[in-house]
Amino acid sequence: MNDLFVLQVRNDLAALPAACEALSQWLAQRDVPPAADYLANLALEELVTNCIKYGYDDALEHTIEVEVKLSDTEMVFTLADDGHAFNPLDLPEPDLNLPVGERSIGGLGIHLLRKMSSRVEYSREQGKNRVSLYKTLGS
Amino acid sequence: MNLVFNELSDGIRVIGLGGSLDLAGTASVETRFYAHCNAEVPRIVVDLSATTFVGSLGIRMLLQAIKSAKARGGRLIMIHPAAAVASTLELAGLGSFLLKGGADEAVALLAVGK
Repeated sequence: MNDLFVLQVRNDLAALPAACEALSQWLAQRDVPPAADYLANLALEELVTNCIKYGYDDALEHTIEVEVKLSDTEMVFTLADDGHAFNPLDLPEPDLNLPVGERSIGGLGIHLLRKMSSRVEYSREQGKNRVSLYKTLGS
Repeated sequence: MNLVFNELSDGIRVIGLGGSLDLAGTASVETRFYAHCNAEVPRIVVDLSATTFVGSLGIRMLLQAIKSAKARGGRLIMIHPAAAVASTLELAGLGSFLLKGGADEAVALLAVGK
């Protein structure tokens, strides 16, 4: 099995629900294992939301590119955007050992994606951030 | 996303969250969810048996309610999560607020803590 999902999302949170629905349906039609299905849906929501909220220094329309590749052994979720350089792997891990009253409310999205993925890669090429999440299927 | 609310006779509140706690789903229920969690000493059971997905905004909503309940001397317990939802909540550091048992056990625990 080799299959590819490609989607372009404009930098508007109103565009996100339709994008999530399209990906969710594509994954469901391919009977993707639940952990990979969950990761892809979470990645789309988290990474696109972060990009729209924090990624751009202007008010212009931009296109965020999403790609999901499926093989028999692996799923690769990739998001590319032309926002300012931002490596999510540079974010510090949240301290989950703090008492709940002292815990920060935000900052868990990237943590979850890193924990759920087999590995995560980031690159900055030709003015674009490129984040790839790899998930070994069956793990 | 739908929300079902039930207040038991001893003031313990049971909130069922059905659907996806994604960006849109969380936005559609969070005002009502916080309102139902708002009590002098909140004792809340959140039933996640019909919750299919929880993203970081959903986790943020649950964590905020847990913090708020604790700050007022109360407690929030989550029950019946599907495996993927339970795994996500554990990775987010909220595993200690998940109860292995069901509603009866949760209510008993909250009644003891009254």
